[in-house]
Amino acid sequence: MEKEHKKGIREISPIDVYKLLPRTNCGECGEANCMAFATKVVNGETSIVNCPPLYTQKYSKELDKLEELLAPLVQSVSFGTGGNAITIGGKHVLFRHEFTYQNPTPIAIDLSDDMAPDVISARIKRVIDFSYTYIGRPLKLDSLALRSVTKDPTRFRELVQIVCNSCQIPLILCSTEPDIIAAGLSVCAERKPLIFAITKDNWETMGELVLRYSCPVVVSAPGDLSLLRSLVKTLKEWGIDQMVLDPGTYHSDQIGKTIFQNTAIRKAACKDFDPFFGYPILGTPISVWNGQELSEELNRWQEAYLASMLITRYADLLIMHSLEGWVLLPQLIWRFGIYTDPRKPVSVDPGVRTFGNPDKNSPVLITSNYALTFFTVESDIKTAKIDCFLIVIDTGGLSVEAAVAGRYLSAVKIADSIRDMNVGDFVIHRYLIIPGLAARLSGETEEETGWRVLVGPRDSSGIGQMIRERWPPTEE
Amino acid sequence: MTDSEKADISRLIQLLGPGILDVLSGKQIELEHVELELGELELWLPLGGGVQVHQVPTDYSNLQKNPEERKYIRPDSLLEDSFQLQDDCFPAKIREITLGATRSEGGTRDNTVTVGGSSSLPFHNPHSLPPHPPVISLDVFDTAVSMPKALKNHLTDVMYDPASWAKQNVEQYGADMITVHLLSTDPLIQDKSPKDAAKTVEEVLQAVKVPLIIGGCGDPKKDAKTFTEIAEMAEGERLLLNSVTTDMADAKTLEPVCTAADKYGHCLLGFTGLDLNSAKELNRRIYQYFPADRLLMDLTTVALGYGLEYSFSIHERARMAALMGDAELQHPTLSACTNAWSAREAWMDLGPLFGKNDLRGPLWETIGGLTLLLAGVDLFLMMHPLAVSTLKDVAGKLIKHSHTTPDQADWVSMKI
Amino acid sequence: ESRIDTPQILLDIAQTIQTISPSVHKYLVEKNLNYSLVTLGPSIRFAGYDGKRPVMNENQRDLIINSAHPLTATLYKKTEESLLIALEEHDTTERLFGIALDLGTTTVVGLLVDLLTGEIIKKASTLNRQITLGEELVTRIAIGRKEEGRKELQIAALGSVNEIIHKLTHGSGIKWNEIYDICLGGNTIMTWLLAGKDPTPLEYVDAQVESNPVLLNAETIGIDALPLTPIFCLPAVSRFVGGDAIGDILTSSMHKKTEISLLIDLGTNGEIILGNKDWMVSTSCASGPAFEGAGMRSGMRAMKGAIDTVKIDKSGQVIWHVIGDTDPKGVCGSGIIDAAAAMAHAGILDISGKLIESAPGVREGEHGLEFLLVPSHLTATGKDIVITSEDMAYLMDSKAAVLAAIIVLIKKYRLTPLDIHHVYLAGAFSSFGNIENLISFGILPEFPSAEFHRIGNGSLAGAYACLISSSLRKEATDIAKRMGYLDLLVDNDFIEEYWGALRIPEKDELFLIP
Ligand code: B12
Ligand code: SF4
Repeated sequence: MEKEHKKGIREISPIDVYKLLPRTNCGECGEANCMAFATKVVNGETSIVNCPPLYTQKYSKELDKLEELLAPLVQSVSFGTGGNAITIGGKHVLFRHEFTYQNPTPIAIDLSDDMAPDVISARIKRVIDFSYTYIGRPLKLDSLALRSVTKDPTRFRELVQIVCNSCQIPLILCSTEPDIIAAGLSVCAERKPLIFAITKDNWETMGELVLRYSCPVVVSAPGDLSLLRSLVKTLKEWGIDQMVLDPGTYHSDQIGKTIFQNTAIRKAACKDFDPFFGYPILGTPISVWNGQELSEELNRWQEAYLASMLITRYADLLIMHSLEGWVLLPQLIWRFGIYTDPRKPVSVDPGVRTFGNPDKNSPVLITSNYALTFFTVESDIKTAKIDCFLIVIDTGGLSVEAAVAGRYLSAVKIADSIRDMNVGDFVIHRYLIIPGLAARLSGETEEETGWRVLVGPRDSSGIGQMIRERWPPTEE
Repeated sequence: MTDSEKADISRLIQLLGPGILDVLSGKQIELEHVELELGELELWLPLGGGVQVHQVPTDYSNLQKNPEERKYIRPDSLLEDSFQLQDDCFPAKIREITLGATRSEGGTRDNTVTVGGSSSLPFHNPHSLPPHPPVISLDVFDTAVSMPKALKNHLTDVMYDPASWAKQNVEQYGADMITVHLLSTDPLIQDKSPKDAAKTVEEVLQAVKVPLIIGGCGDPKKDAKTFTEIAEMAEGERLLLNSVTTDMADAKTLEPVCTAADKYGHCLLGFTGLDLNSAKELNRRIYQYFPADRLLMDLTTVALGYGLEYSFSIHERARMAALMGDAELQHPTLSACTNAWSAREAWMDLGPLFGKNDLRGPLWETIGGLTLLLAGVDLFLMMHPLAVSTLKDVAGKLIKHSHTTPDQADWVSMKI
Repeated sequence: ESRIDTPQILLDIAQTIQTISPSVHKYLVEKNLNYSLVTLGPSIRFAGYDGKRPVMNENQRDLIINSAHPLTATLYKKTEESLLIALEEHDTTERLFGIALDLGTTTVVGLLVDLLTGEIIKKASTLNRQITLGEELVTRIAIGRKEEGRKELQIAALGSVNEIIHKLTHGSGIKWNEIYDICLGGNTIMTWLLAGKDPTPLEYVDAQVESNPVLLNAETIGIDALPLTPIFCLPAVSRFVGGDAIGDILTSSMHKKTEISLLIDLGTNGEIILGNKDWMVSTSCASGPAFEGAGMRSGMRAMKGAIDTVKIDKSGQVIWHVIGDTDPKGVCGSGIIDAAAAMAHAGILDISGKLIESAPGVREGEHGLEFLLVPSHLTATGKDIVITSEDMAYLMDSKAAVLAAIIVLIKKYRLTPLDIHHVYLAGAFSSFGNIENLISFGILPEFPSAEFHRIGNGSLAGAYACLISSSLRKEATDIAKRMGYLDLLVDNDFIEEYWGALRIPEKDELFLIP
């Protein structure tokens, strides 16, 4: 094999990128020079779209080369339109510790055409409204998967119609019969749905349909990775490139098959640079409902843990059936967690936050800007219903304890923040309340700031009690 | 190096291919009919140990062309291609450690458990499965601890008697081991003496015949005394002492604990906080006084929503480094899944939309466990029966080969 | 005690300049009265000058017109214009001198140069007076944030510079008003503080530092030279990689080579530069002055009385060599590294660089364990020379920072030590006797394919080079403009590598990056 394989993101050197940049050091990208920009591109901190000169005629060849160089080993596939469009895949690596995972796994909930219209409407509403606030942001569901159970194109079209009238979220049309899909597409084509699926039996006709409507498509070959490759190869040859792979989601006693298959596919893409497996993987925990188990609770339980395992093992999109909060919550939170930058904790903006109606005598509390810390403390303060000022210090997103240990939260840091945020202007008194876990900073902080320091409880849930019992301080 | 020289080298490596590891281990390889012109020989060993070079029968020549320029025609028939699963081979493996001891081995257990021994990445290849299924140890506390209802429900009868609690865990919930958490010895709780703690352990040893894990209170000085006492009392039982830490090294109590543990034939657990370098350093210190082949690692398990992803990644990294030859990380790992219950989402009332506390909690523990199972963890400390049975169940299925019926994955047109 | 004897100044200057082409030139002023009619006045030209019309002010023009004596004009050629910086009576075209300076955090070194021949006439050095205000750069930035502090720092720096000028001119037969050009290499903060600039922006992570050289006039800041003597400060790349590093690069010529080079200058700042003629990147690590002998109990500068090599033989006997072959007073950076490497090899240090209580020569000191290097009866001070456990902790911390910085830089550009073909050691570092020990102690990784070069005080050499070759100034600016800078303070890989580097590598460990 003479052609060099594509390089993975961990192999690409900033030097490779640098050589393809204009190298005028103009600074339009906001970096000091082209070398600095190249370094950040490879680190995932910026993208080549931020270099305007690259997008001029003069550098079109270099731009092409750069796009090819930096293209992820697992292709990005989009469905849906406008502001609601979803992108899946776009992954560069096998392990999240090599490079941050991109494009968190969307979750699609199913609807079938054998459901009564009112059931359908209720279900759609539940999906749209589903939300859990975590670290200050709403975690939500992402898509609807419409299944043809009746095998009747008309019924399917009706289902699609109802859905299109009720909401804007991206759709997945599910049937292996091309005419049923065609019926669905006749009412929602402009929303660019994802089509499930092309199989070895329908690839010619379904392929035609997919090309005509320019829709991304799932290629399904349950349990047969060679067949999957053959299908992908054929479709690529034909010009179809927006594909999602479905190796089949097995469950119960066959759960191993799914884990091993997904791993084999992702490894082939990321370690062996296999172009036929360089596509996003579909996971369908909904499969558990097709087993022998009749107990709904047990099926939900299985769907729940299976979904989480799929998120962990390379599924780029999930189709589920259970709409129970307890089943979906851990998936939303785990998805959030596994897609965070493994090196950078989630943080909030530093600054002053007020709670209730604080006045010049209200207490001043100090905390770190780690998102989890901030929202925990915020929630505890609100529950305790106290009026106060909360000073959120920039600790680079580290929790109070870690920041103290790593010296990111220090007396000097606190002093600087107090000064920069003009806290002295808000209150007459000169008392700071620091977290119990930062107790060892109290002496130095008093020196640096000139304020008195009160050491608060170790857990923020004790703030309410502390304020009630020890504020305002009696000693002079 | 010129391109032609590079091509020569890659051909050389292809020739050596599977033999590369043999070369490294000192064996000789004879190459016949090979002519190579080499200026500078640089042998690069790719990551992942020796990956066998395979001939994938595919045609990549079309990939370089600009899609716009080609005219697409539907192929007449399916273009056949095949997939061959590659077997990774790693230069090293994880140590195997047996916990507990039967009568013939000097203890009083009915059976022992063995953990570790993996020679490949966890559940990456069905031909390369862990030699031992994961071991699950259920928690027993020697003092009243505040617990969410979902946990307390099952334990109201036995919560105040470690021996009965242990029995229930083994007989009803299928515990492979029991972890006795001696929280009462904490100077800030009840400051119970090491002798009292040893008595509790003795009771449990008599009540159940599975191997035991002894959990301290976290105080580096007190735990040292407690562990030393128990080590002597339970000589020969091959307990796992949970845990020794860098704090102990700083408090200068590491050496006595290690010495006692070694003398009386027990195993140790080294506990560090989500940092591989700290883990390696602690292990290095322990090696001075205690044999590496009886040491396990706890890299810290954090609850889902509170940093489970950190635990996950650190275990993946540790396992990869160990298999690639880092001897200081080649120890079986342990996860305290019970930590999942510290997450608010596991036990708090979140309103009707997220109802079912009694399922959400166990699910929290289960997902934590399964996630770390996929990261290669060998031993789990757990509490909720449902989580335990699910983990055992899934682990068992991952290890066992099974025929697949494609129908099982067919969900599109099923009626629910 | 260190001030008593003359410091061992590092003046190993590479002579890579082919033609002497300074930025200042002298011309005789030709006033040609023949040419004119009384009404127009004389024609004024500079003999032999054919460049752009020189820029001069009213006073200068008047002086030329009204002067009865013949005059010599000195022109300073900048990229865009030529400035008239001096007018002297009579023909002084044979007297053209300049000064090259290295404005270091601790020491200031200067060279007096004949700009016509390129000859170095004299060299001098002194301590940077800013030390009395603050030893570390961070401290100086903090002081410089306030205006009074800024003035104090500037005055201190100027004091040292003027002291050098004085030392150079004194007894050399050259006067302060014969200094027509000054070229200075110093790190960014030093340069800014000299110029009186507010260093506050340099505190921040993404401090954008202009890569244009700082240009000053002697009179603006108060240097003892002609009022209009220009001062060219080599350009900076970032807040911690400044003109001194650029000077190092010019001296090494790494920016002209196809092979990849690594340049290391471990002063207080610790600059590390990687690259070749196509690309270049840099970073800095707070390596601390441990490698210069500071901060250690028995540490001292590399000068007479300092132990600079240490061996420990099989019987545990310590064998040392002293600079100047006198009785030892202390240990300099080179000696400390040697000692540490020897101690590790002899089993006196454990793998994390801590003293082993039971090892021979280790005893309980005032603040913990210490290792006796030289007993008091053999020293010049009458006190034991020891290496304490605090010293070792400090040394390990410094060394880990350097090693981690080097590894991170190499890794970030997807290279390995095998790709490095030249390693340049600059600054105090370059005088270390034993490069092997730098590797065995774990300050540097192994570079199996590299040639090692010592370039001495590259900052000074670079300043000197720019003094006598104006084209190099452009090269310097070009390098600064295109060099990428990696800030380690916020780099996650660095934290990990640092923790991993806090150990002394095993003997057989090939220090290759996994
Ligand atoms: C996840 C984690 C990390 C993550 C970072 C996550 C983050 N954003 O901080 C990573 C892996 C990056 C990390 C790094 C480090 N960590 Co860490 N880390 C943890 C861990 C497991 C959880 C921290 C957490 O999420 N806490 C939850 C948040 C909400 O807690 P919090 O901010 O402290 O807030 C609580 C209280 O402080 C209080 N509170 C907060 N604000 C306020 C305000 C007021 C007024 C009051 C009254 C109370 C209050 O209420 C909050 C809610 O309970 C803990 C151990 C643990 N606690 O389980 C160790 C821990 C904090 N880390 C530790 C250490 C040592 C480190 C490192 C120094 C390790 C190293 N060798 O580099 C680094 C430091 C950072 C650095 N780069 O240098 C130690 C600290 C030991 C010590 N006390 O010195 C711990 C305790 C682990 C251990 N036992 O070894 N860490
Ligand atoms: S915008 Fe482009 S050309 Fe300009 S400095 Fe940035 S990377 Fe270089």
